[in-house]
Amino acid sequence: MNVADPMLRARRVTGAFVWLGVTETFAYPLVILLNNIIGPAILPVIYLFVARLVDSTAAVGFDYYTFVIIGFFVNSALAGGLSSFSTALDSAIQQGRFETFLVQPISWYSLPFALAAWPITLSVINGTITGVFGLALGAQIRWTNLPEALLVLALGVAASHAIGTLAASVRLLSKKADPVVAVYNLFASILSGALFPIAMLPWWLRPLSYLLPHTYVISAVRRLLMVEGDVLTGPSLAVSLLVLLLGTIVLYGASLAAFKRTLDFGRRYGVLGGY
Amino acid sequence: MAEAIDVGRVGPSGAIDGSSTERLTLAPKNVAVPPPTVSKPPGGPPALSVDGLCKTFLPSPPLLRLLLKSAIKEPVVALDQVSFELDRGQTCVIVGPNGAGKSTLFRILTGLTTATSGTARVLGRDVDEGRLVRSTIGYMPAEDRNLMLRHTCAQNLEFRGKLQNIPRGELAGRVEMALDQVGILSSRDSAATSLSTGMKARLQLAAALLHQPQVLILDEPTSTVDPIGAHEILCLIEGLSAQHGMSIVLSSHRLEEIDALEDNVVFLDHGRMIHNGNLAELRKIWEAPRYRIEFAAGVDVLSLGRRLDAEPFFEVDIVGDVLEVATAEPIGTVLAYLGYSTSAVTSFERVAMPLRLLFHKLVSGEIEGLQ
Repeated sequence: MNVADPMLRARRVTGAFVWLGVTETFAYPLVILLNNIIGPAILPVIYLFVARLVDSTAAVGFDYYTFVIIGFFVNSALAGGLSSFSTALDSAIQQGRFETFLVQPISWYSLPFALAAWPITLSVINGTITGVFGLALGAQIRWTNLPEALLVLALGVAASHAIGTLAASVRLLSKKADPVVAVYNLFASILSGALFPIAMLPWWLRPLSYLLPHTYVISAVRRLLMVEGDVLTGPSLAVSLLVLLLGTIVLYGASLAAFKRTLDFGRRYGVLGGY
Repeated sequence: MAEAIDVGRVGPSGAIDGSSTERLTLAPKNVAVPPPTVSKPPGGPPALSVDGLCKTFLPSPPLLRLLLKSAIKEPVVALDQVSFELDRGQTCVIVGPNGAGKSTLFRILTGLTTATSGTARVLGRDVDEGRLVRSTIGYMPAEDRNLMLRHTCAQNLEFRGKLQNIPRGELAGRVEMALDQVGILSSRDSAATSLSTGMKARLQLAAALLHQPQVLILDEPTSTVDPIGAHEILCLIEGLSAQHGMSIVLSSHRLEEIDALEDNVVFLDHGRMIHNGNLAELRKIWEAPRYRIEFAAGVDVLSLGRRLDAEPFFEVDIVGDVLEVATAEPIGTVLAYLGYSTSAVTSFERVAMPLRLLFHKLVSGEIEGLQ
């Protein structure tokens, strides 16, 4: 007798992939130390000095150190959402496992979630390490707003994951290259306001910022967590939430349809598992 | 003169493109054979039904080539009107040289590739039905790359079991049973990377068996293992078919395996099915008696062979210093044509046509299969 409840099945499949991700991650302790502990922990140290420079040379009107730590924290989680499925898919293809997954009695639509679950978790952990070290080095946040901020972040991760699923659909055909994530990251690094307020961008670039989910998440989380959140410019909390919610729904619809279409295309042309 | 065996194509090892020739009997020796549990399943639709299956791989559309260069420039016909059926509880061997279309057929059966036309059904369900069909299939791919090499055998199977929707409470027992079935229970906690190639093949077989499928699809299950390991895996497969009523379709280009598992044979070449039946039927097509003649040292076997082959009623193959003569003429005629060389004959025996030669003649079109 097999498990009939679809939700229970989905949870078990996701659990299986999380277990696989955890065991494979912890098989390389030095990589964890460098990439997942020292790397995220060093950022707050670097920006502690950058913030001192900024504060000493310009009156920005808010605590730049907290501003940038929140930017990194949010960015790390969103980056996980964006590239997790695409990277996991590529890894599965390279290791020769992807077709084995497809031959199992699991639904195609469970793959984007199950394969991405652990990489997203790891990215959130990385972001949290950055945040914790940032707090230890002097960042100040409004703790009372933390639950709302995490809710916004979760919505942002979902929106990023939806874009990531679209990216993975392309990567299934382009194999090594990840053009969607590469282009998105290029724009997001400049336009999302992770390191500086988008008000500093030229006026003609600012509208592009509002096309990126990153902008809304970073803006909303800062408004909620920064002590001077109320004086920050950018989209309001309500607008951010609305855009993220609608954007996530639309993006998931489009990206899951694209993923299914790509799978069908790959089956027709025989290019699913090749590299 | 008839062509001698093309040793480049039908190598000394006996595989169509080169592995061993020695025939192996299938008496189980030191092999864990699964205990009898299930009798052959009742009637119903055939285990496998393939009807007019065609697959042509096309070059990628121009837009896609911006992302990735197409591996092919012209359409490639991988399968052309392939039709056969496999009854429940039976075994079918898909045979053919590399590029014959065996893997494409298996990829269609497992839903990894779609057919251009025709239908393929597993237990009456179209393979396009996806998950329902996949839950009844156990698939063992040709490569062992899909194993998680850093994980133990049990962990590999537990992971697979979760994907295969096996209830949590049953999983541990199923894992033990599958490992026991393939004879590697003692390696339960060994990392897959530490296993020999033969044991890795067994672990893959265990993964395919874990959810107790009704149809097993094995893509060249013995391609990576030595003849002894191959023999043991074949014993396992025979045991599964006989004792569990499992329907098994496997591909191979090892002739001794095909000879051993002669339930049903589908011979593919360049995507076309050139024989569908059993080997005995195929051999009946070529009924000409065949004589194997060995000579003492010093006899010019090559000249002798050419002289015999010049006669219309002899077909001669020269294998080293041995002549193999196919003819409908009486033995005396053969001896008479040997002339003075008869006194140098050290061995003269009537033999069955070697499988490698039978397949060579099938591929070259010298004989037509039963379709």
